[in-house]
Amino acid sequence: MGIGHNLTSESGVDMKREPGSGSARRAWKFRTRRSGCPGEASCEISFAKEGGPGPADHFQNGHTWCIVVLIGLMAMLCGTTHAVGFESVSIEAFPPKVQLDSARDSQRMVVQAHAADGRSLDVTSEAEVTLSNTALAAVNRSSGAIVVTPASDGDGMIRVTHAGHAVEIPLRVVSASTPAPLSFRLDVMPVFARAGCNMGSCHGAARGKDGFNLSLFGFDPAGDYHRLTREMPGRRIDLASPRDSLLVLKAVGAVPHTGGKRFEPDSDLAGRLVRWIEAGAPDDPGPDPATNVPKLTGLDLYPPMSLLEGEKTSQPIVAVARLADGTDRDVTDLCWYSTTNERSVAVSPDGHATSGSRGEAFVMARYATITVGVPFVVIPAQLEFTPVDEPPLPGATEGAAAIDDLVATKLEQLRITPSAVCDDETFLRRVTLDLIGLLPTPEERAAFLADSAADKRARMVDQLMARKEFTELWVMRWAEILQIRSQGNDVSPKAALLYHQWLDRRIAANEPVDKMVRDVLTASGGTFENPPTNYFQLERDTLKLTENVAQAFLGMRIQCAQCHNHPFDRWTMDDYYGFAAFFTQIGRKRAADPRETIVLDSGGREMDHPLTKQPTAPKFLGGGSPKISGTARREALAAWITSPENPFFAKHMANIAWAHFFGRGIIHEPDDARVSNPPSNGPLLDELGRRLIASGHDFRALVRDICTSQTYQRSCEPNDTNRSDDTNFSHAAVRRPRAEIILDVLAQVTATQNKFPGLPLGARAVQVADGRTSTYFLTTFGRATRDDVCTCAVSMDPNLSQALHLVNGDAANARIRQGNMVGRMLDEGRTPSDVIDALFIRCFGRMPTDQEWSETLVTVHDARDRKQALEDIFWALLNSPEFIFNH
Amino acid sequence: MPSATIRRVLVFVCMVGMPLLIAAAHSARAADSPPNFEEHVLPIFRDHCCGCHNPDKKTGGLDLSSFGQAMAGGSSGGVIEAGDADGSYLYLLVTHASEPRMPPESSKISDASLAVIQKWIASGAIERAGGKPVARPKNTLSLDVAAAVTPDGPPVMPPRLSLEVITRGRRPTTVTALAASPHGQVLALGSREQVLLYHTRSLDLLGVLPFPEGVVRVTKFSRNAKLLLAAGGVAAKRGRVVIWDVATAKRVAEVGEEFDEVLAADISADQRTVALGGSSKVVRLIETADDRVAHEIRKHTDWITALEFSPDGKRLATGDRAGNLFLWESRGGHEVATLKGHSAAITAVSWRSDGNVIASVSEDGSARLWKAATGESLKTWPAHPDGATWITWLSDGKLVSTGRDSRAKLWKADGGRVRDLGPLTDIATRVAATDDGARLFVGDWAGTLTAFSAADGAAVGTLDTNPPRLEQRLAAAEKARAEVIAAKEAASEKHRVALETLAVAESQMAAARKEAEDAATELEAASDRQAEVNEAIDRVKSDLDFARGKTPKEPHSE
Repeated sequence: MGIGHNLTSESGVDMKREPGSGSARRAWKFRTRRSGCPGEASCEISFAKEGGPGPADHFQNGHTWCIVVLIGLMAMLCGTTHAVGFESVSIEAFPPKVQLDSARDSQRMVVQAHAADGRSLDVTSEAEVTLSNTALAAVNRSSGAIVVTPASDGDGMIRVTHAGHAVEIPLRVVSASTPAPLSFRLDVMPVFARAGCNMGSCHGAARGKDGFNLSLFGFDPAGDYHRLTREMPGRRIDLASPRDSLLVLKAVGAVPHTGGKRFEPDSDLAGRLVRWIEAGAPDDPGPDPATNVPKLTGLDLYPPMSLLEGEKTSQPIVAVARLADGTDRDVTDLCWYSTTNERSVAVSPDGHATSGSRGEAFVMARYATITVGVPFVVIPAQLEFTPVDEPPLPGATEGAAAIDDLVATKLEQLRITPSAVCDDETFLRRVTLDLIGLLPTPEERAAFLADSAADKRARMVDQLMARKEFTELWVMRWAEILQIRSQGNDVSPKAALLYHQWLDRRIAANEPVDKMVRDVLTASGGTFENPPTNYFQLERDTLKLTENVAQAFLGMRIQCAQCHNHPFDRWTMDDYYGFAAFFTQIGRKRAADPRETIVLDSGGREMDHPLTKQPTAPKFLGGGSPKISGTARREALAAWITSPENPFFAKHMANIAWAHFFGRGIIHEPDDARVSNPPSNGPLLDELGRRLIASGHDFRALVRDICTSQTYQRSCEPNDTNRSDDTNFSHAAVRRPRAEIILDVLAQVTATQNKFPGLPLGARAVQVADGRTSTYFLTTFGRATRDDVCTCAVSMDPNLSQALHLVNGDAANARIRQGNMVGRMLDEGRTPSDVIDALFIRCFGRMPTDQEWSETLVTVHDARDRKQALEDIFWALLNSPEFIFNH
Repeated sequence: MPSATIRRVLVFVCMVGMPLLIAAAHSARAADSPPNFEEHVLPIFRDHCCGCHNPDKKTGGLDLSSFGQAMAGGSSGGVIEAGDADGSYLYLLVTHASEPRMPPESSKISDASLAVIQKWIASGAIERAGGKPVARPKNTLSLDVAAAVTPDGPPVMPPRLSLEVITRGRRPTTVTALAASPHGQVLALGSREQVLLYHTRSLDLLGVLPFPEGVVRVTKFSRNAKLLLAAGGVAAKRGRVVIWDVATAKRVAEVGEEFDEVLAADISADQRTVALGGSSKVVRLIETADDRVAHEIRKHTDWITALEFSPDGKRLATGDRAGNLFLWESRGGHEVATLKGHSAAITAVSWRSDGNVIASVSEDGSARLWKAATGESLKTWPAHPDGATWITWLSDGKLVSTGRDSRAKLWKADGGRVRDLGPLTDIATRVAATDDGARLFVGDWAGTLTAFSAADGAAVGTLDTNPPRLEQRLAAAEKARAEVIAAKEAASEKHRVALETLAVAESQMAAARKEAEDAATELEAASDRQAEVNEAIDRVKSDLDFARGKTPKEPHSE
């Protein structure tokens, strides 16, 4: 999987740790701990802040003895100090090998120094570069950059030295005297992408701009060649006077251009266009130029990881494109750069990243059809940081330890201290809401608090998972993924109900997720007799079905590639139509019951590519083309999707589960995995996927791992280091549960009953089978109609109408009256104080604080109608964020 | 209602009788009697066409459910040219020889049915069995010689001009401005900052007219051949039209103040008005006398790509990149007609010299003829299916066009094909015909300009669209001379060396001959000596024998 390479590839500094080694810390964590130091649990120091052992800055809280330790530490460090406070322990030079393939080839290099604690520093301009054989190539140093250009054929080494460290990079020069002609597809087309000419807002718009049209992000080079050279013969390019071609004049701003100046007249980009026109503006040679040009197989960005300290620290990037013919080319000047977090890392159009405020970002580069990204972390200058060392929780699974470990690794990189583990009451309320969609009853709460066993939290997770409400909750989640709903004549309410029951049986039996998905994708037969066939009735349009499958089961939105290559991901139109070809042969016929349809593989139909108008062979996304006998296209597809080798499926399933418990996926949104939206913690997602596969796609095991982890059990109370973090799970997120759960919980605490069509009185909203069935409450609180496969169809954003509905509507008030909870408690002879305690426990899962208790009690005492006053308190509790949110 | 009943019965007959009719079609073919509309063609139309082309929907203004309506054609003109299937719009569409393909969104109708339609049109579009072929309209497309505007007086030729080019490109570039004089042997080729004038007979460069305003996109002679117009400018910056008096080669007018290069321009017959257009989408009518904008036409929705005044200058046809084609009054700019039919950019529009017929070509690949008086469509044919780039009339009423198929094509007045010229090296972009119609100059994308003979289509010469500077030409000539001289010197040297060699060889030969003679003498002497020696030996032997007493011979007697 060439494309993901950069997102996970290891830099010279090993950022990974062995899962499960919860207490193992790397050697660079220097710290002292001094018990008996009043009010201070530990005394932290950082080393080499100023580049020398200046005592004043190197101690905390007056513990001058630290200086001694510090000096000792300094003595251990052997590197020469070049940047302020930066002691390099190793250097790396990129790319890891340099290959020059023609006379006009060249390769830029970057050199990065690493400190013992993982910080990196660009030392390209200071590094010394020598060649083992100076006849092979020339090393040009202009404005700090290192550029290697060919001189004669042969193999050798490039030796890079800095601050006493050295690395050697293999160098190979071939065809040093061959002046390769410019290729339209490889050398000219990237200019338009780099300069932004073919963006959607410019000439890439469907109808072009100001009379000139380019294909969006260059998906149609043949068409672009025609439009540039021959659509308006003589206007856009001038073979006689290439520099005066309108194409060049517009781009360099020499004549008025709506898009302004895109590059300088003496830039490499302008030079490319001019040289191409000078050569006669040729197309790539051959009867089919598209296949004659070596295909792009990958794009590598260097350095693969940067951890920058302080603001305005610069790090240049080098981009190397790999081609199918074994050659590569330096495309640093041809990439379009962007960043996922402008505040932390900005990137200039020529590929220079600059640090901003604390945080992390991916710097993305797009070249032709490929987008890749490399991670950057920015930490404040001279930050003092000590990772916390927490013992694993009792009863935590091995998987939970792995989760905690990988989260901790990332947090250490970011110099974030996570929040503490929450208290029992908070945990019980959170886990009960998350696992069964209800609040703990006062009895459950009392029993849990009374339990003194160390592993009671882990046992509680198991108890909750064993309940039928757990199944129902996950049936609801899966019904969203499978979009279970009745739909006109295609899916009758009966079919939808049967489909829902089928799903319920599968989840109750904890059937492996892969098997369930396989059964859906390959389902044939009547929609009553074999309910998962309804999947193909709910979406009968081949292209939409293709998109749904990719989004629901692989977490990828490939919609863009229907009309043009995906601009921010790897998917091309070829990929899209190759994938769609799996769904072209689904046939449907009427069954005996007019409400039922029979879904079958009927064969025959092919998927025509809209550009070539030729049938496209079925091709897996990012995979090969299977040999398919007969009509078994869906079989082949399902086998590929659910195969352990599939790089997307297991991770996507794990991420869906993760998102449920943290309010945010490791990839966010969970069904929007793409190169330009990388996971916030790639190793964590990899590990979850790996574990899901290893467990035989045991969904409950995954839930157990997540819920018994420290990461899940952290308090939502942030500290100074993690207050701004909302992507790395350093504290619990305050989340609003799904509409169904809020309604069920309201009914639970008010002891009232709901009525839904087709379900008995007292049924829970979670149990509603049909996406079509809804109530005003559910719609207001964002229940998905399941018309759209997108996870974003479920809205969990609070809004004003929800608040008004709870305040003014009958959701709270009428239920309080109807359930008469307060009345019944008073009838039982309980005191107002007792009732207040009970209401707090019902709603918040905790006792009132002293202040809450006294204030509410005063209110009740002062009231003429005590029942009314208590019900008002009940109402106030139901309208408080603490009730509505899971925290 | 008896009529309703009859209609119902007819419909019934049509539906039930269809298989019979198709069978009848086959039998008709078998019997080799020409197919007719009622029996053979209407069933096909009903099957494939009448869903849209019926009296109620009349899609495209066309109704194919009855003979009269079918022959009347649609909103883009006639669709059936009796006697000429390949010239019938309907046939071109159903055979997918032209766009839009019919029937839309479905496969071609069967070859058997197409054959019936072809035969029906070719045999004169007979209405019913026993009917007569439709008479082909006569003369509507032939040139009205009396009305034709022909310049009089002696041919207009430029004076002796500097042959020094203003700019010379790295290589030739796309020919976009080409015109031949209607009365004189002058070809005007526009390029960057200059107009090159060539002699149409000798193909010699006659002169260079500077155009510092930018690149020439249009060259055009006035109808009387006395003026030459060049239009163009700097793309996206400015546009200008310049007019020279051909006989004196003096600039007589400069008009227009555009903000992009002028893409289409012409001068009226009375020479008072210049019309120009470009990416502004506005056609401006400008007084040549004072560069005043007399009128602006703002109806076009895309770049103005083609325009031409009528030969009498009273009307103006303008076309744009969206395929709109309009006819205007030159004075006041009132719209006369909309010429509907082209579906892509109009690339050229040309009035016949009698002013009766307008020809247009488009990127949709078709060439169309229009009745100038009313704007009605007279004729459509797929001239260059990948896109046509230019069309112009010959003085004898023929037409010549160029297209993306890298060819120029010569057509009869009614669109019948005469012959193809080419292929050229790339897209053919422009063609100009000499005043006598004998020679056709065709330019292409790569910048080659080839002269063809209209009579037989033979290429008779090429013109250099990127001629060298005089200095370069002189240098080239001097270089050639130097080469010749060097070659001559080399030859003379070679001759001298050869003569020397010969002399040496001759002396060597003499020596050898002498040597041979000496050797012969020596040989003779040696032979004599050998004989003497032999004799001496014999004598000694005899003496020896005698001494041994064997032979009682007289010693020394032998």
